[in-house]
Amino acid sequence: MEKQTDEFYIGWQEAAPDGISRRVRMFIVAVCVIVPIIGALLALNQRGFVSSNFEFGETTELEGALITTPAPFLEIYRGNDVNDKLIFQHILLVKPGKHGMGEEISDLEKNLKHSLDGQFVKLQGSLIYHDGKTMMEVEKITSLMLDTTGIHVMLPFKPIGSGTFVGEIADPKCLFGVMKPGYGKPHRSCGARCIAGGIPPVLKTISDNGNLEYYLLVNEDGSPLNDQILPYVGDQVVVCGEVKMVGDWMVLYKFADKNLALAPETMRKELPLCK
Amino acid sequence: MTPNLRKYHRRIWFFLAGLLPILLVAAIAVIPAERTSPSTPDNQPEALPKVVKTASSDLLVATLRQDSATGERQVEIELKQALTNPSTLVYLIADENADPATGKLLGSLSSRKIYRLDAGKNLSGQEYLLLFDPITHLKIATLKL
Amino acid sequence: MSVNYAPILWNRQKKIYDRLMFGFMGLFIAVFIGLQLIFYPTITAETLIIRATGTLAFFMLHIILCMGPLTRIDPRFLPLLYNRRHLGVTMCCVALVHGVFNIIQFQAFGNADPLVSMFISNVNYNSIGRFPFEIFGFFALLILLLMAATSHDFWLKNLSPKVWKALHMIVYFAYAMLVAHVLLGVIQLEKSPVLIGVLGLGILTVTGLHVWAAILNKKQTNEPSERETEGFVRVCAVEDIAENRAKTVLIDGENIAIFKYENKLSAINNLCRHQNGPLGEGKIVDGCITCPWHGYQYLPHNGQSPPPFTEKVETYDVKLLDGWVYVNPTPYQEGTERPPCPIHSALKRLTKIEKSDGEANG
Repeated sequence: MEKQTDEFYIGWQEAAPDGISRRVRMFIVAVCVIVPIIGALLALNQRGFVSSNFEFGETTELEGALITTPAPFLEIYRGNDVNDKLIFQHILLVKPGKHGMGEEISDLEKNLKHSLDGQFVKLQGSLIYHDGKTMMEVEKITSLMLDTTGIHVMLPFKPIGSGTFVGEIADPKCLFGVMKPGYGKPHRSCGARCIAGGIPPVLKTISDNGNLEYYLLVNEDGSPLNDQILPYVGDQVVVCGEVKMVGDWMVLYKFADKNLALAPETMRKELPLCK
Repeated sequence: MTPNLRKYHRRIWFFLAGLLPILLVAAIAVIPAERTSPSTPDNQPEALPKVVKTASSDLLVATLRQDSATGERQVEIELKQALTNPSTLVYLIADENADPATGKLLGSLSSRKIYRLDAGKNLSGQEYLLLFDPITHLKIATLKL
Repeated sequence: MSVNYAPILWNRQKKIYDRLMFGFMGLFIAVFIGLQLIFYPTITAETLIIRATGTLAFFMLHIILCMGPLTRIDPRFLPLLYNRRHLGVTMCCVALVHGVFNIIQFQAFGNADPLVSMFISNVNYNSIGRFPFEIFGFFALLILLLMAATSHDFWLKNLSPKVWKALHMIVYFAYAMLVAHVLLGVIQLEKSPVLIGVLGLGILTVTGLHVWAAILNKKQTNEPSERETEGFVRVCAVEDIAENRAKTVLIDGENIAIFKYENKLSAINNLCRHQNGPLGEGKIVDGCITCPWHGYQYLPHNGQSPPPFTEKVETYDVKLLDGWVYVNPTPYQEGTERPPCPIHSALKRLTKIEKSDGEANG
């Protein structure tokens, strides 16, 4: 090097020469300033996390009627309103890990040789909840009552409209509490794995006034569409279908003749018409 | 470092100095925009015409509405925040500390939006609105209507 | 320098280095986690660990990558290089925590093997925005692990410094992959201009310093083209070499350092046998040429490390003619003793007078 001073640093000596020490001290002071600034900038410029909950390690026991389609729910009777209408809460059921509840119910139905739809059950598991939507990660079915004289009366699913819906495909287990964030690009693989494992997919939409809505997505006939939706998990998509209320959940029955599509950039102008 | 390694080193960094900014710009260009959905079905009943009272808290705005012709009352609840409990039932109770079992069940709440719940005709005008969680047995909010 | 392998040969400088390193890591973690918990208290522990370790490792990699060019731009930064391997291995450990937590969180407990899941869960390999960004992080982590695993002098010795150094240069590709990992991953969700700005500044700093150092280095490379008589090549005037320092020259691929000391000149190969450090940028300390990177030492007249050390470098013939230093680029076998070329005081004086006359006339 042309620019040489007589000072020379040797690491295994006890101390560095003064000039070199001064330069390194400058570097250390610079790092002292940069480290907290970078740490703070990175920490404070995230979009934040929702107030969702996963009661990991905490067990709750709930009883109600098992609903098997369009997705596994526990329907819990909460009383009658002023018009004597029955009030139910619907808790979406999943298994631990990235697995849905559907397979276990099917196996159980095969063993029992009858449908479990409408059967009164007691379930133990951990609750997952966010924004008024509640799920249970079922650890075990503690009681399966074959006597169906309980209070439960199966409600007909109430259609509330049809149209074009645009939003992100996510898995509800992560979205409603197990992960933060449980949506978006970093969560994409996890969402795909959850949906591949039988957890019913959710379409998360945002309305013009900023309200979020969550639609469980199924085929027009109510069958799961998990496999066909896998390439779109984490994407913004356009879905055409009919919405029905299943208790306090909205279920979007995708029209069979309308395929899912990625949402175009300038959405409103280019949206395919569903009608 | 050998002259050859030094040369490769130089080439690698000239290459990266071109590649990384292109990658940065390309990645910014493909950041997905937040899209709103054109369809948002509303399954709530029509708002009754007359506003009787309004009360609010950090969580919600509650409006007591009435149909003057029939005397029917309706409680309109606008959730200002997402609910953070597993289950939310809405009751009208006679006094602030009353048990929900003694009250009148109006309905349940879910995601953040406006709810309109029938409250019937026979109201004293001194009721409290109670949001109660039947799973945790917690009173989420109590509001004088 | 060591005769036998030991996990770490601790000395005062290394201890100071590591204390500072862990201090800064602690500061970063404290600021990052502290602010997260204050401003985003609903964050989960897993996300906090993933984000804290990911950002810390990537930040450390930026610091590590800046050290090399900084020392070439200003040799007073050389102490930063001295224990860089500890910094690299520690950074790899932090990155490993990030990687393992991510694989457990996002890929495990499903209906596919976690490592397989990483490759099959998102198959949009033909899209930029939808590309499975985890792949970049996974391969970058493999590179970092390979580097950390081979970081010890045992591997350096057995792989040879040339192969080892070439192997460790793939960290640059790991860096590029990590930039892609961040840009196509978390940035696609977070979208914050500040985060993009910080990353852009990081890229600019690292690439800018490397390009600057590379240009500077190319300018400083002394490559005489004229072949003189009897195989000797003219390098520089004798007074261009400072006492106990060297002039480096590249002739027909031979990288030679010519040292001036005690009125003598000796030439040895410029590449230290430890990590191929530039001996010509070193200094003669206690009669030994001392490498600027890690302090490995060689005797100038025979290129041998003083006993009990065993490293040896090639030596060359040097001659002095009319105040000009000449070197023969044909190397002698490593450790071959060559008599130093004496510098006569009369000759030095003559050269000075001639030069000052020339300058006055010019």
